[in-house]
Amino acid sequence: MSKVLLVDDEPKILALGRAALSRNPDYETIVARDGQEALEICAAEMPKVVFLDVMMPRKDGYAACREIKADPALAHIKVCVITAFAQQSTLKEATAAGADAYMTKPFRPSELLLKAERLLAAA
Amino acid sequence: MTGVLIRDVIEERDLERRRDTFVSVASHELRTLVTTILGFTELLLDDVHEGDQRRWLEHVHEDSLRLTSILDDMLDVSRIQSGRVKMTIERVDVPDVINDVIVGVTDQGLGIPSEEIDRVFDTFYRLKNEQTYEIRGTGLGLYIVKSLIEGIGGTLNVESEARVGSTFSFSMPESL
Repeated sequence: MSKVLLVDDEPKILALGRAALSRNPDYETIVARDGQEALEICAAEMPKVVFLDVMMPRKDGYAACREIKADPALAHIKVCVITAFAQQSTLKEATAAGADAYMTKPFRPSELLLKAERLLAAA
Repeated sequence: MTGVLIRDVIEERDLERRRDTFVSVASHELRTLVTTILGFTELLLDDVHEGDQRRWLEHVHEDSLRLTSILDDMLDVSRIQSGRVKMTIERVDVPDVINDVIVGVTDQGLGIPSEEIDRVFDTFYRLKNEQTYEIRGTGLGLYIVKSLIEGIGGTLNVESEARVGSTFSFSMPESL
């Protein structure tokens, strides 16, 4: 089983992500509601892939991504940043934070599955 | 006098900041809502293969895609009007058929009546032809195209005849 962590402060997005990823029986999906909780779950559960929303309370997605990539124990985790802003500047910001991939809302369930497959193949 | 000017500049910057915040919040909130509507509908379409429920789901799916497109267009217009669109000039390979700096496309559609041709690049403008009510759109596409082309120093032109068709062409400055 490959652990995939979904992080978003909107419960329906987490439910959608869970439902989409459940189409692949090899994935175990875990969730977090903000960047801080994501870091704690990363340390405890060691997921192979993390999907991180950007705008979240307590700690946003870019900050969480930077901390994951700066921690030698977590840096190997593949991170995909999900943003509502389809702009070149947000892509640059995600890259600067160390993200391995980038998706924009609205994303399709099939797109999430494909991204998870690609990141797991590279993990 | 100087005091008034400084106050005007501060108010203008405050207005710009509020508009950016509005666009940012609207973009995030609306895109999040569209993600769940579109996403759950697609998951249901995987499981519902026939009957009225299938058709209803297809209607929801089609309109959520349209909503996404309208949202993108409105946010693009907002960014264009606030001067937030940054364009980068890059060299690309183009097909051999494009050998000039003027590119045009001609259709054999409804055409544009001469009395309306000056308004087709206005935001939200739609032709007053009865047939166009059956064609969905927001009236933002041509405004966005014109703004982007003019943003890099080009020009967009249209020639049209009602019930015959239209030719849209754009030219780029050779110094790009």
